[in-house]
Amino acid sequence: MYGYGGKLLYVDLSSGKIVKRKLDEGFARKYVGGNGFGARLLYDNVKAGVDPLGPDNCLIFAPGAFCGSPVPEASKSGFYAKSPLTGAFSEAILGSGIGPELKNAGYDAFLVRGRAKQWSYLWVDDDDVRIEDASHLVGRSTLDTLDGIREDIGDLKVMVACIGPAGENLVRFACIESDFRQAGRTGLGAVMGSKLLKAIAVRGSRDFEIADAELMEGLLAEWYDRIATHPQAISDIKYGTGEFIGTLNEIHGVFPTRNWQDSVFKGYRTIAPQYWVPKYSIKTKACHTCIKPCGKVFVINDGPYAGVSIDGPEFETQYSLGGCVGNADPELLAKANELCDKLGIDTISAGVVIAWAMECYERGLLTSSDTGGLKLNFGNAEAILKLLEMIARRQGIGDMLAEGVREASRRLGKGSEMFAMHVKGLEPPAYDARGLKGMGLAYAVSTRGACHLRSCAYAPELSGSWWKFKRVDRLSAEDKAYVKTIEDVMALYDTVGICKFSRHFYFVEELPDFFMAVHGYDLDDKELLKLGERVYNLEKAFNVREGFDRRHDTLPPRLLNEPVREGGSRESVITNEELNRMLDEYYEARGWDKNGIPTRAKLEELELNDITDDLKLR
Amino acid sequence: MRLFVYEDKCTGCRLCTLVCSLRHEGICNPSKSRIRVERRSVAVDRPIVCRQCDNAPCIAACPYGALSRDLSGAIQVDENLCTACGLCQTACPFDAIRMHPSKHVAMICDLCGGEPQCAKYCVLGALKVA
Repeated sequence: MYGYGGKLLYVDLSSGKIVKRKLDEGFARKYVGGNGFGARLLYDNVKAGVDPLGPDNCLIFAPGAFCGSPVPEASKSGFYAKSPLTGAFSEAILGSGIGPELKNAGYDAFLVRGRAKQWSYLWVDDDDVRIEDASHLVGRSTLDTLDGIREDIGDLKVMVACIGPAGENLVRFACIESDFRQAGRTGLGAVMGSKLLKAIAVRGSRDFEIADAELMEGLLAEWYDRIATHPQAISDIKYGTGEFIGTLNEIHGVFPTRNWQDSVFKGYRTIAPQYWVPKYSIKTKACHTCIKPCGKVFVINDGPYAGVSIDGPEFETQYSLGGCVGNADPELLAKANELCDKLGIDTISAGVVIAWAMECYERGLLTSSDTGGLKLNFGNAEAILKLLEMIARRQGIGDMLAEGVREASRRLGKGSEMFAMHVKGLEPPAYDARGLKGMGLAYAVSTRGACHLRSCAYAPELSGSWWKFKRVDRLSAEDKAYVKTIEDVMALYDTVGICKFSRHFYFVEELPDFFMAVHGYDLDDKELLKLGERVYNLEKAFNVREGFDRRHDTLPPRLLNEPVREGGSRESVITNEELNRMLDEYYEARGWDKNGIPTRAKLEELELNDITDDLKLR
Repeated sequence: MRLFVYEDKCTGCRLCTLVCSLRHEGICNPSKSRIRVERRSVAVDRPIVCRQCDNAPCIAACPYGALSRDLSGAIQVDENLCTACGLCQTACPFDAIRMHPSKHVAMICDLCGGEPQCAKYCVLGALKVA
């Protein structure tokens, strides 16, 4: 089989048993890689109702199907587990070199179950796989852990994925750090922490054979020029991912501010990359095989935050630790971002949880006696930085915040649930859905909670069109079933491992050539879309088995009850009636029933017959 | 012809390592690439590759006469003469020489016969030929 490492690696930390299984060709053809492998392995290996932080949850890692080949932008690999933040299917994607490295080591995925007796790390050195002692790494930041493991092994080339103190302390939105990138969302760092798994180190030196090297060289030559000269690529290289922050504030008015009380952040200019890139950025960084690099290295040389050196802050962080917490200081933003990266916390969830605490404080629901004397006013630098430390170490109020905004608001009560921003427990990213109604539907139905990446619906909503979808009206709740198709496309990207920022040029129609070059499969665009749909339905099936249905496909009360106060989406809100209409239309497009459950006919069409029996579907 | 490296422009994408191994070996394997990239820290990505030195120390160090310079300026390895003794590796001031893991001969950049693939696909120009 071309384009594959050829084996799956199963590790049981409780027993110490390590098993390598040959990758089955039928399995590979049907689920292809990345998200497909992750969703299927998760469905098969994590039974309904298991504790996400217990030994029966599994942590799965699967590089995209094109990972390891030189296909430009094929950098993405995914971590999969049952999320400790949502209790649902979870995927966290990152562009680390550990994915290709794993393929060069001869594996297309690994699955870790159980719980080690002491802090450990998994060391995959081609065929030699061991569970090593990690007691000397406990308490160390993500970057220190990387250095520690490189020192242990004595090789700078070793790729490492690890957790920081937040993951060790089971912060429910702890991330996994690898290659200076983060698998940020849904708290998979806590899953590693619960297994006493501090890190995974990989070194691969085996040949990775693709189907047609000559075709690949031809495609590379053609696509290199197409990508490098694309206006989107040029702008990404210049300003990174936050290039459109001005438009979001000035034109659309959908930049969530001060815990989504406002949708325009008046201080956005100084956290915009147009301001800070020329002033602070010393270089541009890329994920693996990316030729439109969007990472901007932010370095602070003097002042209170001297010494900060990070890849970012990316757009979502400009929102979460910028506008959402009322912070307009780019140096504070970079410092907070660095702290999150080192402690191993998802910047999006962290910012939203802090923003919620700040609103509680300003409304008098939390007082200085609850916060250990911290004044949690929006924009307070000391409070933001201190809270991040307190969350990661579960100190004081940080212990409650570390549970995520849904659980924190449940514990505090006093009506704070009404402005706790989450869907299914996951804190939302930077798009105010009241002014992007398709994004509202996307948040509501997403399999991992409030997520911009299941669908990337913000793109057609903002620009009015994408791919074959034209005349998208962001302020209307009509004709939003297109979200179904773009979710399938995004699941396909996550399966092959292509970055979603490539969606402006790699349309589904372009992918068959790459399949031919890497895997030697002849798959047309219709089959590829069906693959995406199969993967998405697998994610959904996992959630259905956990008891999720239409009741969970909803939005935070603020988006349903409080119209936008000012700016380009002024007075807009998503009414319950609109949400229900969008859900009906979406479920119908999906071929699911009115309760949001896949039908037997749909799953059989997607060749998931065994799942229909498992779920006892009608 | 000579390959110039501008480290501050390297994004760390490592596409060069894949196109190099694909061109020379027909497979994707960075450990069989003539160029490698070390990601040292968040701000430092270091491409390591032969710079075609004048008075090349590797050629001088080889006791078997296995290394020579071709018309393009590239160092050529005669695989019949090379014993993988590693003296060229030690002599290289750029640490740019490694031993081929299965063929057991020195791997040195050959400038792809005049059109180095690494530089061709280096998007911000960290690798340039002149």
